[in-house]
Amino acid sequence: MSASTISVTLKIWRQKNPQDKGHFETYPITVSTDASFLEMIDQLNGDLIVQGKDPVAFDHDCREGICGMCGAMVNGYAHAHEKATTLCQTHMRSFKNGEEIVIEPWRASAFPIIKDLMVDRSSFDKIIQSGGYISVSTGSAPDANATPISKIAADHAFASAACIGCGACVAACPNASAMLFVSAKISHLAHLPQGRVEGKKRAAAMIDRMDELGFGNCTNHRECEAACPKEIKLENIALMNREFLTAEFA
Amino acid sequence: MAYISRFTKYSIGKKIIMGISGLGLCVFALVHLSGNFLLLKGQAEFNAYADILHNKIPGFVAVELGLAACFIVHMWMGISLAIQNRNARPQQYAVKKSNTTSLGSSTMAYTGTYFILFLIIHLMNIKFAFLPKPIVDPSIDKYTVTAMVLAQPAWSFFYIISSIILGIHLSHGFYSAFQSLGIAGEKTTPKLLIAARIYGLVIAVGYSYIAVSMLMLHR
Ligand code: HEM
Ligand code: SF4
Ligand code: FES
Repeated sequence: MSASTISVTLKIWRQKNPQDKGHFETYPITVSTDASFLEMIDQLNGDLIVQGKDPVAFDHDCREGICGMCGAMVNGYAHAHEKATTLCQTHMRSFKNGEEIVIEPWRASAFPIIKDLMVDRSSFDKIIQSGGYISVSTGSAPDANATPISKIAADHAFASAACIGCGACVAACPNASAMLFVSAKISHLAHLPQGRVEGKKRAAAMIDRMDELGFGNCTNHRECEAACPKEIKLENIALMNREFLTAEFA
Repeated sequence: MAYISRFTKYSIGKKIIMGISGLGLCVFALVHLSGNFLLLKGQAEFNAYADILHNKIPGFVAVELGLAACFIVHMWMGISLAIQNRNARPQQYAVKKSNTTSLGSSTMAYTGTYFILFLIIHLMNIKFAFLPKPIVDPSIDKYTVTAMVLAQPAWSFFYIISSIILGIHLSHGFYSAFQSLGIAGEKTTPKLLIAARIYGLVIAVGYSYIAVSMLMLHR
């Protein structure tokens, strides 16, 4: 692989703490096109530390697109512009030499900024705590085929279970709605017999908590689905609404 | 009542009421359009239709009240949801790009609010015959009242613009309602998106056509 480099101008949101007003700061940087987006920020932070300046705070963990910790708005797109790709899996080769790159944290009142690009996503945990689990005993590891589950149901459940809870759906939604995330969590349990038992109670409880936490309401712009690195489908929201309706009327 | 207020406490409950009332209004918009085409057939035909509607159908007032209820809950839920959406992101992005947001979807609250204002003026025009000038003669027929408004270029233009704005609202709303009611699926969504655009176009062009034709006939 050729080790070419590009020079870009970063405009990064700097905010000392939750109370700080925050502002953009500009940093020119020359970086290998093989660097991941996060490695590019690592390089910048190395330079900042050498200069005795405060490094840019950002969340990350696995750096292989599976944990859901990373994420920022890059030039107006959640997790940058590449489809179905987390920020950690985005590489500098997808940017142009001389480009200006604007980097901002997720913005939502339910995701308060902790510092710089780091936001507090514990509201997602609170939604899960309100019902995103199974409390019935499912026994110890059973025989794989003891509970018949259709291939279609298993595929739907698996596809929605792929949600890594990154929050890009909230960030990309013009209304800062969490409905794609919540519907993915409701859906991956609703398709399976073990999850069905508490299905209706779960939907109502999780929706209630989501509302309390100050997320917005879906108006079906479909931005969440386009931004989601795990390609969680919008149809999960329709399923969530059906679950809610049957919970209310049944 | 307690049941309804519990239901509307939930965001999804509000969305479902929005969807049902919105689809009710969509049906009305089509029925109203097809009835209005009788304006182009002639005075006698249109007046006969208006007479059947208001005097020959028992309980038509109930239909009108149901329609008013749809408007009120739709507006009420819409405003309540829109306020929550504003509060959900107090600080906007410096740069924000969209992948899928359409003209219709991004202007729902504005086109909706405009439509309420239009509706008030529309009722003053036709139902109460109060605008552009109050008509006191009780024997005047609906066709004449309508023709007097649409004969004026400025009023006709106002109706054309309003039809287009409603069409824009519906080019998203018609799809959105099915998704909110949980009817959309992976296969139906692309079809519903196209159907909504066609439906919005039919409404915008249909009502505009009537306004233009009436202007040409009576100018
Ligand atoms: C009274 C004035 C109106 C206001 C203030 C208004 C406002 C709104 C708002 C804010 C939305 C939410 C956007 C969304 O969920 O995507 C909406 C959706 C919708 N509107 Fe209206 N609107 C009005 C009139 C109408 C009329 C006259 C019709 C039909 C002829 C209509 C049909 C719809 C439909 C079908 C939806 C989608 C509902 C859903 O998402 O479930 N609206 N409206
Ligand atoms: S639905 Fe997609 S965008 Fe939203 S939290 Fe899950 S993985 Fe992230
Ligand atoms: S750091 Fe784990 S998904 Fe990006």
